[in-house]
Amino acid sequence: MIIYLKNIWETYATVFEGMAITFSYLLQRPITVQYPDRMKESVPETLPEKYRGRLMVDTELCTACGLCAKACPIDVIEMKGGRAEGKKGLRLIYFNIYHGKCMYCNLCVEACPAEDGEEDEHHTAIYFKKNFEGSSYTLNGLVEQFIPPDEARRRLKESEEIAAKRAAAAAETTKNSEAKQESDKPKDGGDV
Amino acid sequence: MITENDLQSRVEITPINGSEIEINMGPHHPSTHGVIRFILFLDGEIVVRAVADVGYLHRSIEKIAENLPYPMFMPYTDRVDYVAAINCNLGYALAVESLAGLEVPERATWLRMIGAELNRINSHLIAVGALAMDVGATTPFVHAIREREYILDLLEILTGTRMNNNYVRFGGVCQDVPEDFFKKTEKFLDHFVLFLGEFNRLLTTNKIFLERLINVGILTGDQALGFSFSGPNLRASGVGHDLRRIDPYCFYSDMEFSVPVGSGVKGTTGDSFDRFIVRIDEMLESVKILRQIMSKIKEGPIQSKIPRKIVLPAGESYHRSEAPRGELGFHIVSDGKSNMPYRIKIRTGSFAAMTSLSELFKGMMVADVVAYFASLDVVAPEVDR
Repeated sequence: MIIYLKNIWETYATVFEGMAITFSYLLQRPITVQYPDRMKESVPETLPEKYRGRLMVDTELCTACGLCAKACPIDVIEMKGGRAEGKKGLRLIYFNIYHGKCMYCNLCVEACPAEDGEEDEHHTAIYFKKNFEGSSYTLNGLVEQFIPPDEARRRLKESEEIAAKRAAAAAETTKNSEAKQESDKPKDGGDV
Repeated sequence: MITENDLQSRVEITPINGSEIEINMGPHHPSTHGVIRFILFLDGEIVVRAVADVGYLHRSIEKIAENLPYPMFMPYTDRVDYVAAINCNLGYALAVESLAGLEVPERATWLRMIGAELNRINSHLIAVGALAMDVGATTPFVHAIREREYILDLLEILTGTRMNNNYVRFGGVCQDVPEDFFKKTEKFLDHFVLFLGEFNRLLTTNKIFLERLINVGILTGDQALGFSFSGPNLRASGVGHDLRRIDPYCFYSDMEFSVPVGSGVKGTTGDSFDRFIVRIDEMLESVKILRQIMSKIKEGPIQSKIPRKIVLPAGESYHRSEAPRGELGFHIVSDGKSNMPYRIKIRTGSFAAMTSLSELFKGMMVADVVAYFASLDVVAPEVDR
């Protein structure tokens, strides 16, 4: 009987102790915030420096080396580089990021060798923006084309022309050198 | 009043003449925390037989590992146990580093330990909060989730992401932290100790909560070892087995912390309440470890030089570490030629916990099934991988 009453007493005492804690929260300021319209400052400003938001690429900085695409475990990055008129090295032809696939693992950013030397907002060619609001109504909306398709087609054509020109030039030089070699060699009727 | 023994004997006496009811608990059940299914054969309210059905969350992570170079598999280890991602990262990194013989700078090791211990607190908060919710107390879960939110803010500064951090790299970590991170962490730890006191007043002393857990799902030390339990579940059964103590990795050998062991404070050793209280105590130990790390960490490099293409010597090795859900082991087999593993086997604590279910569920009430299962702190993706 005493145990029975003691159990009842304990139950009530501990339940009311919990209730008191819950009640004390009624008198405190709420810790919830009204997102997004009633924030004092915008959320990206409150994020830490190296926050991994939406994946972006700086098309001016990018050297089209393709290391990021190789480092990605799930083929988020689809890119191609090619030669351009009046530019040493490679230029981007197209650079597409499939945001729907990206798992924000940072491996591509670590692989990127191209860095800008700026003191503030220093970043590599491929980098994470602080913006995390990337929802889209369509699946295709999650594919971001950093070079517009028209521009990409033009660049592809240009690079193909240059490649063709260079191939022709290379063929010319090899032909010349072969002809030279052939003229040096005694003729034995060999077909080259 | 019906005692535990009465229930057991009743099950044995009752003839099973085709009158048992088969019910499916799950795959989508609020108390299974993920997609796990039990098939329960009931006699009235008492479980006669039970079958645990796993595999709903199988993503063939181990097979994926065979087709990826070692560094590219790191993000997948996050997904082995998403509640404690850095612990899984760390286990994998240690396994590969020990095989490849890579050096890790001192500061990187400290940062790894900070990440792992913060993740441990985070994971145990989910465990105790979800246990409270499964036995009917909703408010403590919200409190636990609120505290976890502060930890996620800290992890955001440390790693750049809130979950699935992919923080650890071979030979170091992916980024350094700003100096104010340590101040923020210390402020959080002071707050967290106070919070745990409040949480204990709210939940741990609550009579109704205690009655739901005490003497439910008793596992003796021998039984727990027989089911190859590890981590908090094994320690709750009275076996003081902690890999951070008996097989130290990182700088855990320099840390001063005690290993909480279940002693049957309210009921019998190894009951569900012991599994609960061991996790509460372990959070306090993690706070102690974090304070020691913070006093010892120094400036320095965070990444050592590693070869661009990692090729492990031919052979196999097993490396284990203490994750919040028990021993996390990576068994790596390498053929010594390619930069991909020949085979990776991941051993997780949750899977071992699942093996005990069909044995322990016998003779339990349906409500106790939920309490016992929640006290094991099983996370579904860790079971299936």
